[in-house]
Amino acid sequence: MARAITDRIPGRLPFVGPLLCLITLIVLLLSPAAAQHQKRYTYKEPFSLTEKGIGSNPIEGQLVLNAEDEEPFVSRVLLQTIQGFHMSVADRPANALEPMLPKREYKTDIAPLSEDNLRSYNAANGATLSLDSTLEYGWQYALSYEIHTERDRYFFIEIKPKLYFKGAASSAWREYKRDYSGDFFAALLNDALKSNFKALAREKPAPH
Amino acid sequence: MLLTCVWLLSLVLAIVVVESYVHTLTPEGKKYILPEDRNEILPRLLKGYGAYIAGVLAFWFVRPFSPPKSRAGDRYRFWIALTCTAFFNAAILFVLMGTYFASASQRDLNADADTALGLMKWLSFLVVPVNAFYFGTKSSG
Repeated sequence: MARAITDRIPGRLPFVGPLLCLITLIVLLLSPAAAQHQKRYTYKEPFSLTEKGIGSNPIEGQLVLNAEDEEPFVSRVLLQTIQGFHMSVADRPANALEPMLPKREYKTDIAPLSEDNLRSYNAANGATLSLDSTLEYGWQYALSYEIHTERDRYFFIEIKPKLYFKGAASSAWREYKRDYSGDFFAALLNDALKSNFKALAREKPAPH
Repeated sequence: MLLTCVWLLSLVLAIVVVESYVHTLTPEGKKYILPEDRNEILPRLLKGYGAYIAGVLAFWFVRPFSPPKSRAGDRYRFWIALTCTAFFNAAILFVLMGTYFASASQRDLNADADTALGLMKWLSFLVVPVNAFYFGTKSSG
């Protein structure tokens, strides 16, 4: 019996090795650490239209907009938010009054990551995702938005953060290809978006 | 032999200077450059030095120029060649080391390497004729 088993093992081994390698590769590729770079984040901001209400009352506690204001408003919020991080959108139309268009991806330029943000990042992330504090880092967002008007009305914003690094005397940013936490950068933008939606809704002239 | 050593030593020093930027920290505690930057700067620098050092080494084996009729100026010729070569190489190394002395907002090793390579071309008149003559002249014996 024992002989029969050992006789069969060499015949199977050539398949077991490559199979294990393939499984390991798939597991590594699907692991959260490997997915950090390309992760997409979303932000949802519900809103309603001025002519809609509950009975004769306007909807309270929600952003209220005119139908024709949807695009300019969300564009203004996005621009104000990224300008708050000292970023600008490089591929926007030259006309500053033209709003950012829905379903189109816009990329910001690369803004240096402040020492405070670097410290917060390292404090929030474990050793495997921490960033070497002797290097300089820059971050960039790829943003796109959609205006959903089917059942519920909401702005749907997709965020793709990207990290870059360089030395103090390097002339150009390089894409950071090691593992890092995109959650930290997405959270920064999410928080800023939340407060800017509120702030700009207050600034907006009251609906009639 | 001394002149060849000056060229080779300068090449080694230039490599050491560029490499040192990968390992040392600025006064603010940041690395000067990434290894990836070094990998881009060094080949350009080697290409620049290569043009001169290839000539110097080639003239060790092929000496196309006839020796001067008078041997009276031999001593001066050597010192002129040595001074010009030393000045040329010192200028290149000085520019490459400039990043160490630049203020935080002015540090750019890539730009300094470009300046060094530009300087190599502009100062060629100092080293090319004297080194060609010094290394390329057939010995009178």
